Amino acid sequence: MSSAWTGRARATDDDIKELVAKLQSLLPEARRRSSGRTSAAKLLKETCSYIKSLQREVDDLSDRLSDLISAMDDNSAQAEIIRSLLS
Amino acid sequence: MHREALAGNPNPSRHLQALHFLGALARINKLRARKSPPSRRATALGGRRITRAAYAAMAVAAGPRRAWSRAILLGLRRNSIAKPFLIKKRILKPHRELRDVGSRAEELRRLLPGARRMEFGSLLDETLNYIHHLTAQVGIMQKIADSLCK
Repeated sequence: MSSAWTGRARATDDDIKELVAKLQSLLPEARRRSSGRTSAAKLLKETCSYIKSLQREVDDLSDRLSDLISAMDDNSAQAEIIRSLLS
Repeated sequence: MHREALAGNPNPSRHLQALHFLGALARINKLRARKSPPSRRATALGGRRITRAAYAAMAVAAGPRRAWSRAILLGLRRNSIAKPFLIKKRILKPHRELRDVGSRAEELRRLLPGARRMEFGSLLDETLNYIHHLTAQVGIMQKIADSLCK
């Protein structure tokens, strides 16, 4: 990526192609279209739904962690949290 | 965008993200301990506090150079719970005919914090980085949940 990028210069077509390719490789296998000629619109649609599912996962995990933490007594919860830090 | 990779070590921001989140979690746990037996409302709020901590950890790890992380940090500083991703609500589906790149990009701009008026190239760049930190956060939280289950 050119250094002009940090100055928020308008992206060139090549920049955008590169970004689209990176985005495509970032999506998990199940969401990737097998054909090489994915339309940009489809890619963006998959990206949006991927982000939404990730955000939902964060939400669900937050609830789960909240339940797990409140189910433990104070000392062991603190210890477990710190233990995760070390592992 | 790939500053960590350029520095030869892809891990620093992920460690920072995990540490920041764990610290917040420990603080939330301390707060919870002070109160008497938790009500149902308290556990629901606990989930929301943890969600906030999750996005704060992501934003701290990403640093101030990203529009999305700045938007999150600003929102948290104002002590407001940023609406798009912290309040569960039904996201209206776009009209079936509007499936072109423009409307998909608009949808992406609504999902990404701080991206409302972003030009297309920056939008893709920010999206890549946001997804990178989101997936890291999911991984961190899963690990912690697993270790708390043992």
